[in-house]
Amino acid sequence: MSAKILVSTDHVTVRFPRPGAPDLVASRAVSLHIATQETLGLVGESGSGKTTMGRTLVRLLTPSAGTVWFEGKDVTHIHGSALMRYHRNAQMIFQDPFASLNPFHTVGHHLARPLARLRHLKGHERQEALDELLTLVGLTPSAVFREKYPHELSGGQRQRVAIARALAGGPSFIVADEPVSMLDVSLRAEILTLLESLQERRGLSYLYITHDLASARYLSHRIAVMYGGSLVEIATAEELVQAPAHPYTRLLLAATPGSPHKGPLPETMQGAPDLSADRIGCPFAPRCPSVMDQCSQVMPELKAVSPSHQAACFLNT
Amino acid sequence: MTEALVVDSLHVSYITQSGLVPALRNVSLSIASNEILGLVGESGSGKSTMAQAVMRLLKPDVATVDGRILVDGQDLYQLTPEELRLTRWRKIAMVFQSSMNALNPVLSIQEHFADTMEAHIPGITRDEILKRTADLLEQVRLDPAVARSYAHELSGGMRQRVVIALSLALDPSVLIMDEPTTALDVVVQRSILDEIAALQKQRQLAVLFISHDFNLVSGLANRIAVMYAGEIMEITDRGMALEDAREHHPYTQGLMRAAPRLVGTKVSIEGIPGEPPDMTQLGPGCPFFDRCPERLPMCRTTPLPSKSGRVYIRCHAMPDPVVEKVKRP
Ligand SMILES: Nc1ncnc2c1ncn2[C@@H]1O[C@H](COP(=O)(O)OP(=O)(O)O)[C@@H](O)[C@H]1O
Ligand SMILES: Nc1ncnc2c1ncn2[C@@H]1O[C@H](COP(=O)(O)OP(=O)(O)O)[C@@H](O)[C@H]1O
Ligand code: SF4
Ligand SMILES: [Mg+2]
Ligand SMILES: [Mg+2]
Repeated sequence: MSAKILVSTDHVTVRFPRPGAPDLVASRAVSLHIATQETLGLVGESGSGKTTMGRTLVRLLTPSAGTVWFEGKDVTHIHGSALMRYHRNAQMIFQDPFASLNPFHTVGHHLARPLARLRHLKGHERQEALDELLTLVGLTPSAVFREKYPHELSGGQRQRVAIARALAGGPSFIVADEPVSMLDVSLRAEILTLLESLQERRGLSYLYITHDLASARYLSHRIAVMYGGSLVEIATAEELVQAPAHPYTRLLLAATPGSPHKGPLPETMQGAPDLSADRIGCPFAPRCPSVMDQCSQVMPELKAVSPSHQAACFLNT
Repeated sequence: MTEALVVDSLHVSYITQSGLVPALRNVSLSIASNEILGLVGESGSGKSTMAQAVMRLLKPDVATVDGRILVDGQDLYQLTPEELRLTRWRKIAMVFQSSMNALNPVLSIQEHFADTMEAHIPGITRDEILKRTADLLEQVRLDPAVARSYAHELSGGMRQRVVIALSLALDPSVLIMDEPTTALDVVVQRSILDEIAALQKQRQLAVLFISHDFNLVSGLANRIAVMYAGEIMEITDRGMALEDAREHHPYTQGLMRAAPRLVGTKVSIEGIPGEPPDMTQLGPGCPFFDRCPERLPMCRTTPLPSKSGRVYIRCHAMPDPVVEKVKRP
């Protein structure tokens, strides 16, 4: 794996205004980077800000503050044709392959559009590129799949179409937002291994968003954990699952099916984190079994636990 | 060991415009009191059909049902409608797949409990209802004050706890749970599973716990039944450690190799090539034939043997597992 950074965020904050209440902060000063041909897993419970970060990275969303870098260029505020060019390089795959495909359009139509829009391909060339894409994602014979409508496809085949569509512009970076959450275990394995082989063949970098730590461990080189909009821990995949440093990560690991954890969960109470702009302190403080006085006063910074491992917790000093 | 629930040679077919479509074929299993049987299978394999058939909820114009369902020795399908009404909730209760969304939005939580208790316990007093409701809510670790709330005021996890408490309102001996934690975040899910396990032990419940998540079920159940295309391929009390994969049914082995592991050394995964069969086009043999790496020529044409018992494997290429003493997790 090359250590060259492909895409990164620097203190990215995304706020959503709420009438009569402080802004909701969906992601709070999040800094992360993804190297060429690297997969960064992004895990956390629902509402923790994973999709918001993914959408910001591919610039479907403009952050309220902070910077998004791609290949060394600031892409935070690009628009128009520059944004279109960016979308050749950065694409997103969504959770629900059904909802993201138009029931009235054939598979061929879904792929022809980005080939025309992002790569300006026409006629015979476009047809060839289309067949190549279908073959690449395992939808063969491509001549048959080209003519099919979404309802004629299984869940796994629809997700393959969504992947082919994301690949149409020839991207180097893909945000995959819970791409296998709605699939059965066997199909899940097929899509995960497809993503793996595409990474190798196309030199792709991924942000793999999931709430499932086991699949994050499988696919990712490193894993980042979000809680309440904040990045609380980031480490190589093995370090994260074998030696988690943040109490929230420990809770998440203990609760994940397949974990050997026995006994009560390491939390003092249940409940959702406060996302409001006037929150102070560590987002996990209200539930944290190790909470100290300073935790509810000051937000801990990410600090190195090892050269390849950082956590934002006062225990780690 | 007393069997609280016995399912004997159950066949269910849905009545559709194109004729009868089988959903369950020759399903037999039993659950002892004080035992959790996990039922796993991919979507469409027939798990929810199984739950509904066991509860006798499939109307005669929706599906044909053949076979016996014994609850504490009594065949549900031989009961009169009034006997059936009294048996449900009291002897056998169910938590549905999306029941946390099925709470009536205009009734308070207290009223849900009152309705259920009044319908089944003649002459129960208001005080008794309030007291029992508070007890039940505490057993699922909710503040008894939740009784005064309405569904929309509660989180998904709290609603699901309410539904579980409600299913226990008449102290049933058998509880059917159909994907009771599927829509919840893992931390909430795990804490509810812990409560289910504790309640099950306390009340000596027989639980049929349905899920698509193999890992989740292996942490909870005493035995696991694996369903494929409407048939139970295997009932096992073995661990799901990959080293033991070869002891399982070829389909179970496929599922085990497909799931990424959270702990232990990182292993590669692979899907099971192909797709489940079209239930309108089933042949006489094993439904897994097309996808099976172990198949023999006879598998295509020879029906799988009928089996019953605490553990079994239905496969022409594999012997039954050696029966050991039942393991408790
Ligand atoms: N467009 C929006 N307007 C208002 N709030 C939003 C919007 N998008 C997301 N949010 C809120 O931001 C928080 C984080 O959401 P999201 O990024 O979707 O989390 P996740 O993907 O981890 O489930 C949630 O509370 C969500 O309701
Ligand atoms: N009311 C119905 N009419 C016809 N077919 C049905 C009906 N309900 C379920 N089925 C079919 O029966 C099979 C099993 O469904 P189900 O029991 O819901 O599976 P699971 O719960 O394992 O996902 C599926 O093929 C499904 O399409
Ligand atoms: S019966 Fe045959 S086809 Fe079916 S699982 Fe066993 S070996 Fe495979
Ligand atoms: Mg999301
Ligand atoms: Mg179901």
